Amino acid sequence: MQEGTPGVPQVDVADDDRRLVERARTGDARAFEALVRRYERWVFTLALRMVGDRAEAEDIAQEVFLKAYRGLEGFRGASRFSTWLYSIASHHCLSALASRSRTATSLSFGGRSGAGGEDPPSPLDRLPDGAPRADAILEGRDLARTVQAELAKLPEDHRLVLILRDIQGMAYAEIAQTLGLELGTVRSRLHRARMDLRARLRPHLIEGGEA
Amino acid sequence: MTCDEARAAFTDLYDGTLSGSPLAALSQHLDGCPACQAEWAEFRKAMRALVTLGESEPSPGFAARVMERIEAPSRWQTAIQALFFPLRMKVPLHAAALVVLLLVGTWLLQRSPEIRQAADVRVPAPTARQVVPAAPTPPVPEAKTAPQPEVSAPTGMPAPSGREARIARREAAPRPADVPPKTAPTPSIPEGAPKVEESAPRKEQKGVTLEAPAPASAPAPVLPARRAESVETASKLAPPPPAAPARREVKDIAPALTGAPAKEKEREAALAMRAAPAKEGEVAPQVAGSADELFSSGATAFASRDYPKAIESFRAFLAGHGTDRRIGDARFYLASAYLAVGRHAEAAAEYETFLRVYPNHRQVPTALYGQGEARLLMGDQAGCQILRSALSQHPQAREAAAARDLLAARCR
Repeated sequence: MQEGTPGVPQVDVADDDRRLVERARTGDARAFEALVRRYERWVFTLALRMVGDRAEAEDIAQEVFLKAYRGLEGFRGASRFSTWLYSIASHHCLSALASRSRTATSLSFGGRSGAGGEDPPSPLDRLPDGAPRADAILEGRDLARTVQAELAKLPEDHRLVLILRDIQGMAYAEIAQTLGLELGTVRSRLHRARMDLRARLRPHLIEGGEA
Repeated sequence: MTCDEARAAFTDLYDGTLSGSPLAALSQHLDGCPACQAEWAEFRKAMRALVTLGESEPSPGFAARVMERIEAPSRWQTAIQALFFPLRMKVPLHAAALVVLLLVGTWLLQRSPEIRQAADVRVPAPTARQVVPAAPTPPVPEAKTAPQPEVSAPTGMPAPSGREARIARREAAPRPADVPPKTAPTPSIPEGAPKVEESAPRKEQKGVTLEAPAPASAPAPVLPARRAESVETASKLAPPPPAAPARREVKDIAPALTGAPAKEKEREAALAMRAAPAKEGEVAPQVAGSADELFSSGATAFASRDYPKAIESFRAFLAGHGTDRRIGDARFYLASAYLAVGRHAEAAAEYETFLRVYPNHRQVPTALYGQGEARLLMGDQAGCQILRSALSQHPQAREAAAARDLLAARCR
């Protein structure tokens, strides 16, 4: 992974991870908890940027760690623990989005998704056109929300590569290893995702001036 | 280098992986092409905007919650192992359980003719040579006979076989006290309580007209909600019953059938009976339709963001079907639809009613946030306190982030 990945210290992390994994395998729950604490921000950030909803992202992140815990026996150390965990997280996010799109539209606000794969409307989002939206009042948050909204419109596999590279700061090679893709595929998906996002953000960037 | 080639290299340029002659060629192109220069500037802006999203932290205690989920099954396993693992305990326990089950089963079979009868019904229909003599229908004086339920199958449904029809007729008729019921009666109906009888096998339920010949003083029947639902559906599809003192509308017994808390139903029914216009001078909705039609119409309209239509449908639903089990949902959606169209006062009022009548409804967190927002937007600073309360009670709700923003903007 590229240096500076948010939330994950880099120095000797791989060795320490390996030790913690060994201890966790022997039933030391505290060792696994240390791994959870080390990677919770990374996994949660990925899930949040993929699904756009905090509660759903927390559910996904919890499931990712549960899967990892249950799969520790199968982790042979061929790759780094982090790469293995990122792979679980990435694929779980894609599965969650796929099952979300299969789910029939739920009217319940408690439901997690609408037919279009976006979050269902919240009362705070349902003000009529022209009315002062709650979020419009807050200029500071506008840009992040707009970016998140446009990000959610990208194809999921493109979105994933874009998040791994430009938000999580991973190197091409590790993205390729995590997702099981060729380097060229990673690059082409990333380029298409960036150009797509640029086109989608264009009106906002023009109106808002410098982003 | 063409413009397309130049733009295809933006990602490499941004990542700093271009060098040598490709970099020189791209730089030269950008220097001489204002369109590509503008594109490149936009590209960088978009990337900077993306980076502003940054990382996020899960809510406090996330790791502890993960560990709770991880450790929970092992605690169960430990407990089960402690109980059953020693073979000297496990074998006698299993044997004893088996004996108890057998005894209970035998006792139930002997004590309960209903179970035997239910088993009989599943026996394949007899052939012509094995005709089972039908039990004589008890002669009931015409004047005392309750109206016979309709047993004809609805259009498109297979007509019941001769034996099924006989059974259905037998069961639909009132029985003398000493004649055991011919099919399994609803076990949860207490003796002496009015019985909602299914006059045909379950497949033919939709054609049944409901009979409730019990005296008014009898306790209300308590049935599982699913059964109530099917009975309710049956009653809707049946032709309208003629006026007869022995008949009772399904709606009258619906609260008991659904098993919902009686007080909650009564409060909601009283609210629905009043069905006060939401706005002064506004006429209460007169939209005709069954509960299903109105709810479905409201739900569809809400989902497609046709909030005025949703308001109309849900208001009609509330006014006409005050005892329906979806009444809480309807009120919640009505409130949310009001909020969506900027009718903040009505939204606040409906949310308030919803929260008062359905304090345990699953939408309470959303309603609380909605009420706070509605109050704030109608200029009532009480909304600030409501939002703060919502945040302290439901900090994980999806509306929490926007509520914090609203608080910061409006509640200084």
